[in-house]
Amino acid sequence: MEPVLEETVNTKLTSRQTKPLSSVPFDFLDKKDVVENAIERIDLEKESLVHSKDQYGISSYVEKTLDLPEGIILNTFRYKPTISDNDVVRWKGFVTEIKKKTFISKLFDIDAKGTYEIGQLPIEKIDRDDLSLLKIGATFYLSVGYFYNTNGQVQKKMILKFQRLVSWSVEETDEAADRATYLAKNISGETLEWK
Amino acid sequence: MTTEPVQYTIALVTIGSFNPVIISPAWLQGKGALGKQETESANIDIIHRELTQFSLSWSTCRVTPERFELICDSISYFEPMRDLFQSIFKVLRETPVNAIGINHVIVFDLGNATKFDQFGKFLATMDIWDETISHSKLKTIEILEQPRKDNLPGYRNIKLEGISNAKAKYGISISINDHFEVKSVSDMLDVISKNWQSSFDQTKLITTSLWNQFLKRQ
Repeated sequence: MEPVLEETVNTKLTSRQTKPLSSVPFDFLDKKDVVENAIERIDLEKESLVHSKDQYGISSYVEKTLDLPEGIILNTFRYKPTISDNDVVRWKGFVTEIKKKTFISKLFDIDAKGTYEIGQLPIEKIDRDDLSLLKIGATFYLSVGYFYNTNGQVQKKMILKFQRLVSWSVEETDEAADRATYLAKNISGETLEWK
Repeated sequence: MTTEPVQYTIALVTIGSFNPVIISPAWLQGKGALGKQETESANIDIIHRELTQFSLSWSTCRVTPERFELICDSISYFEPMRDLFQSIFKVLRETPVNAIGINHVIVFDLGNATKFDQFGKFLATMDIWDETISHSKLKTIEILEQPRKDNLPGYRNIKLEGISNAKAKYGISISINDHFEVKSVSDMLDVISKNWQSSFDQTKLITTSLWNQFLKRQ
């Protein structure tokens, strides 16, 4: 078995300077002229690369014709990892108390099942994005370990990310309540009374 | 040689019928699934009726009319990626879906050419080709588990291939496609909730068993 060099999708695309699509307001993306100005135009090539060789696998890429507007090819079509790690310890935490500069939490090791630990973490380590999520009972993920940047440099650091879950709709809440009622009614066992 | 992975990528892939153009970072922020900064720093490749692709610093989202996927190669963000997936489909709860894959790609480095060659011979008998072709080499091998050990509808596909990159010169990529057939979004979300951790546990069992058997034969 010999090592086979990884073939990146990028090598198959014609690389020309492109205007980043991120500079385009989202609302106008359905307008053909804006799309044409925003992404790369090359010789009427409509073949793009999508990974669909393996029905659900993620490592195989094959060419497939997409119904993109005439003359447009994607400026990039590849997975672009920016953070990478493989040597970290991970916890799932629940906020139990909020102090002035820190918060206390119960921390459960994600990879090693067992009891929880109590941790005190600095509020300044929370992303500005996540500050509004800091509440008693909030769930967060904490990782400590070695991280690689895109240049391959290794850094020891901590990642703290609060859980964002779209709230349940009224209908979903009702469904869950109905289900809980059903389960409560069907729990078998004797009724115990305090004397 | 190390039996610890040098790279671990996870992808949540669902097959169904999607409208790529509506899924964007701004839309996700509007639904409360992403923060403001994450949204503003998202790198958008394309938002189009045939294809949407954008990357956050920790995940990439790619949607075609038939396929939706979230990919993440930072272990620290595997859980947030699952949460994002669940949030998206809590909003798109009427979307027709028929399959979900919790796909793991794990890369190990065998360290040197000798070990790499030995691993190839451990996986498959190559001398059966000697009579007909010269210099036969194993490139990939795929193993299918169907029906699944847990009897859930679906299968598990394991693919091993040799790779060479900056992290693993003599690398082995093990792709485990933990595939479940589902009938609806709520069915799919239920499958993820119930099988997320066991998918990781089973993947770890598979790779550990493979390495242990290989090391025993050294």
